[in-house]
Amino acid sequence: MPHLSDIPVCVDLNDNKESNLAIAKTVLNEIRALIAQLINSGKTGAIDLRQRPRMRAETYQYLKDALSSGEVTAVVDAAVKVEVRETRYPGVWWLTHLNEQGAIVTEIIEITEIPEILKPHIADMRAGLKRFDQILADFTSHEESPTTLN
Amino acid sequence: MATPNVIIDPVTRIEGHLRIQAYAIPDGKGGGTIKDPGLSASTMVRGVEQILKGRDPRDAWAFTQRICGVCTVVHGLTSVRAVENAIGIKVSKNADYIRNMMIGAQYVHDHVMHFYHLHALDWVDVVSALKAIPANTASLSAKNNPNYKPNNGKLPDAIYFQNVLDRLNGLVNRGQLGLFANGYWGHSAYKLSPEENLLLVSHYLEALGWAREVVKLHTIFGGKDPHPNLVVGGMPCTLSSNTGPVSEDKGGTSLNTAGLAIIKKSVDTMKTFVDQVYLPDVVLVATKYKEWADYGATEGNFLCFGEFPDPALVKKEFVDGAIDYPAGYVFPPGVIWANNLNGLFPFDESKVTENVAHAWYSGSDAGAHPSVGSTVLNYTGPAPDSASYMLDESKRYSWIKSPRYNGQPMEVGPLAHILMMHARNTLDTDKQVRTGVAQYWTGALKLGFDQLNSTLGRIFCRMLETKIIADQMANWYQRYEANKAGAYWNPNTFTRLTQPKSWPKSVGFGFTEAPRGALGHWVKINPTTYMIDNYQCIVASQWNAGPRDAKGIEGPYEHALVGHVLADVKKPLEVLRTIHSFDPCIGCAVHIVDSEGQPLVQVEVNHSYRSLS
Amino acid sequence: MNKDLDLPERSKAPVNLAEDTILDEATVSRLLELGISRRGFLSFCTGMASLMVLPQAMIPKLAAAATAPTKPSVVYMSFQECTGCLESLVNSFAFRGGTTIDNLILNMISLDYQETLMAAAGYQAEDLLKTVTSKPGYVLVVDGSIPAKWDSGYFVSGGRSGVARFRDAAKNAGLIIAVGTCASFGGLPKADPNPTGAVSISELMASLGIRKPLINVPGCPPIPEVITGVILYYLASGMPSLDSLYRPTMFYEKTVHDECYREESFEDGPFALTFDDANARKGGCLFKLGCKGPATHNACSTIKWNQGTSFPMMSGHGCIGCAEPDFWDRINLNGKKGFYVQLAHGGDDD
Repeated sequence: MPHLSDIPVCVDLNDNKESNLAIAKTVLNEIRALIAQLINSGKTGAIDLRQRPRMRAETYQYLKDALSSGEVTAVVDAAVKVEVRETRYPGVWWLTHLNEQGAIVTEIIEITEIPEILKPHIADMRAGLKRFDQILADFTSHEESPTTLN
Repeated sequence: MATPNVIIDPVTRIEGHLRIQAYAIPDGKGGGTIKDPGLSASTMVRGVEQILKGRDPRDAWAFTQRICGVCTVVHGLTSVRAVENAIGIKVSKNADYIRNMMIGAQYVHDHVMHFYHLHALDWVDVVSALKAIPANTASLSAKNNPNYKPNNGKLPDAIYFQNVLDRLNGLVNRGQLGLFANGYWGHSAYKLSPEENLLLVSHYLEALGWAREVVKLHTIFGGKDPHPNLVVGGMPCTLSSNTGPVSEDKGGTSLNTAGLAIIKKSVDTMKTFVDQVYLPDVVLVATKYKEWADYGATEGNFLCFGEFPDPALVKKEFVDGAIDYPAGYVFPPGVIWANNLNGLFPFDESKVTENVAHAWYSGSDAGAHPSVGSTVLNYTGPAPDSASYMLDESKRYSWIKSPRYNGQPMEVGPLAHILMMHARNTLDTDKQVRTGVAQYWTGALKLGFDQLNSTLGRIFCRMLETKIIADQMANWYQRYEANKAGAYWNPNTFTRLTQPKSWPKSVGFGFTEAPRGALGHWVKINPTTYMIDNYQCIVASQWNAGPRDAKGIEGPYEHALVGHVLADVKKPLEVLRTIHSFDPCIGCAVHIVDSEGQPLVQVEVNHSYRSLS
Repeated sequence: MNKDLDLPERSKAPVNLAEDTILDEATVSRLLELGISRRGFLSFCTGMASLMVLPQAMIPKLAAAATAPTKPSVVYMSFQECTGCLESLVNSFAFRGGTTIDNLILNMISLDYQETLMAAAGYQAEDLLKTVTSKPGYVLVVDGSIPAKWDSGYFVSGGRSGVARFRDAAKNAGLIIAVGTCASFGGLPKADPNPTGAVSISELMASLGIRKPLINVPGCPPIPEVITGVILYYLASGMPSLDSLYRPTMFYEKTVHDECYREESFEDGPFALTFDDANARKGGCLFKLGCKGPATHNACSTIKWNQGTSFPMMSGHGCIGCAEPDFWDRINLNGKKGFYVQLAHGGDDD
């Protein structure tokens, strides 16, 4: 009597140049739509490359080549590292998140004016202001009339 | 006998499930003194040996490795060695270098974690740390750990310690002490200053991050940690044909340039932390708790199977073999008797027996060699979930069998290793032991050499062997790196593995010295089916944590409790200090249930045994 | 389709771009208190969200959960375990911010009971257990299987059987997480012939009539970030989506074969035939050496092990299937058990 396990199973790898390029084209189309959205309504978008199924080396390289690089790069160095590179297309940024060993944790294509991670936060700025006041107070503690910035 | 008034169940900060009972003669003030040996009982069993019966011996390592996830690697490796012994395989030099590095990494990781995460809270009062002054802690840190920059020196030390303090205060203020809740804080037996306490708490936290990094050595060689992969005949990993990162297009393995860099980094990181943090911290604790060299002695019998073979001694690869020359082991095989700490005697595997007189197995009370005999699970203890649950030392009371050597209870572990090396005194590492003992123990601490047989001695020896192994890692790595393009497998081995008819022996014995001591596996392979007929483990913690034998001689834990003076019988911190000094691993000690194989030697009346008093 | 020439007028107020990744002020203030860089933390959360296949919009929720001032209570109980799952948890991705945040898990939760690490022992530990399980709503994490027969004596702790200890701890739990294959499916103690009558947590719950939300996180042990990821997800967003075996689909939906870099050579080779032949060095498929990848659901090929360092196949050994039920007794080609015996067929046989 035949068993279930007798049925041969063929795994469809679906890995060939055509399908890799088709996947790349899909992503590029999404980016195009997000750029338009950003211009029209100011709404941002992001594509997490790690979450893309079947993102093969060929697809990835094609995307990287297609988007290339622009004028701006920035590195966030905060124990973990984030490399931020503007692509050829203003508003389209390629972010590479690295862990402490320098291995890539994830890569995100952000469609935005400035990636959030580059911006300071209001709470950080308030804390910075307090520290700044402290420095000024130390400076002017010898003067007769201490001044403060407001 | 008197009803036990010291009961610790569960014993925490160990691996596994352990119950300790003892009787402390009351002093009328809530404290007491223990004059008689205590009772050490394991209360959980799984039955790994029975599960192994009938399986392929080449699979056994994966099963046995899961005996314990704290001492990962060691059971897997011992199993692999047992089967290799039966099959007659000589592994390659690369395999031995890698195995040494893997066991070595296991030791260093395990011992450092033991000191900080399992033992430290017996000596460090976390609540007292709250009163520390950060600036003073910074001065102490500069004095005690001068080369160590916490958090890579990103913050000035005083601010760093302030942050640790804030974190602890945060726990207290939220009323969520978490792991630190309900400890014995404020107990009169705590002796460190608030600054010393804060310093050690900060190292406890740093060690967590350190531990996470150094295990990556296991991940590169074995694919994951815990429970990296091993294989009978060699190692599964091999050099990558592609030096860059693995990819679908380029293929490759973990042993590429980045992988080797991770190994090197792990080796360096281990050594740095051991030298800069662990060693000075142990000396600090030892200085403040010197009286603990007077408690926790065992009978004075020590046993070591031998470990860390030196592949450089192999003259012709695959011919001479790599694990057959005792002189080349960093930890020498041997036996020490009755506190004669300079007398090293040879170890004879046939003198090992197991005794179930006080364990929950039916079977002969006489000791049996592990390759022989059968025992059956038989719980005769009290019913759980009852208010009257209590174990009785005159009856059977543990899931651990009592191993004996020549009929005697033996202590195994770091103390045994250091004493053996000290006694042998031939290799450079032996001389390193002598220097370490002279510098710190008999030197700075002014303690007697004999006093090493104590709670404090165990802590000291654990540290000293960690330092020695951490130093050796660089040596093994260098020689592996120079040979990394060489063979990882004996070219004939793989064929031999697939041709069971070519296997010469049906009984194999594999041994390892695990971080807790002597570990042996015996495998009996069926000559027709080539499957496992019988599998027995005798594990380090079994030697140390085992119950009384047929003659009523207690095991090392039980013996070590004699003489302890407790300030408060309801808060038995003193007992915990000694039990923890053995680094209990009870999952290891209780692997056994049932092995219904035929005895090797057909003896009509009794199982053949070799122990005579 | 070309709407891009329709430019809106710039408004005076700054436009809140990238809203999805803005952390609220309370969270950022807490990060400041802990001395953690906001940017570094944001990157960490982005990484975690990516691992768990979450939309970017989840990041503020993750951040809030990870920095909440009052930590949710987690009670961790161990039965017939080897402690490997705890060791894995301790290995999990930590965030080294500006100071000493060495293990995020200790900061995200209040680990109120855990026998391997806790200070209290004996009576003090038992008292603590009573206290922390009296307030409803804690997360109960369990590792190890439990012997079904309560009076067998195969598991006793504090004088009480495993069954009683579990039943009492489950009473007020808000969620039960079975960590590891032993708790999820019975694991090693349940392997043939199951000498102690061990059962999984879900089996025990069914037989005791305990109805609580349950998540199985199998693996021997599970990947460190899978364990902490599940806990973090639950704290940020409630129950994740589960499959029929109660496994979170975000980690267990795919097999380790699906994303294995050696999958290229699965169909046509090259196959490694020994552990040190030329194809092994090239990173050839390990199917013929017994790899159970096509039948094993886990995240080893994507997340990998120990912060992405390697995973079993990358280090040359085939998958042993350790996250699947009854993997110790799997029947393979020609009806044989064994880690080095080829799978009976090449595909996902769920």
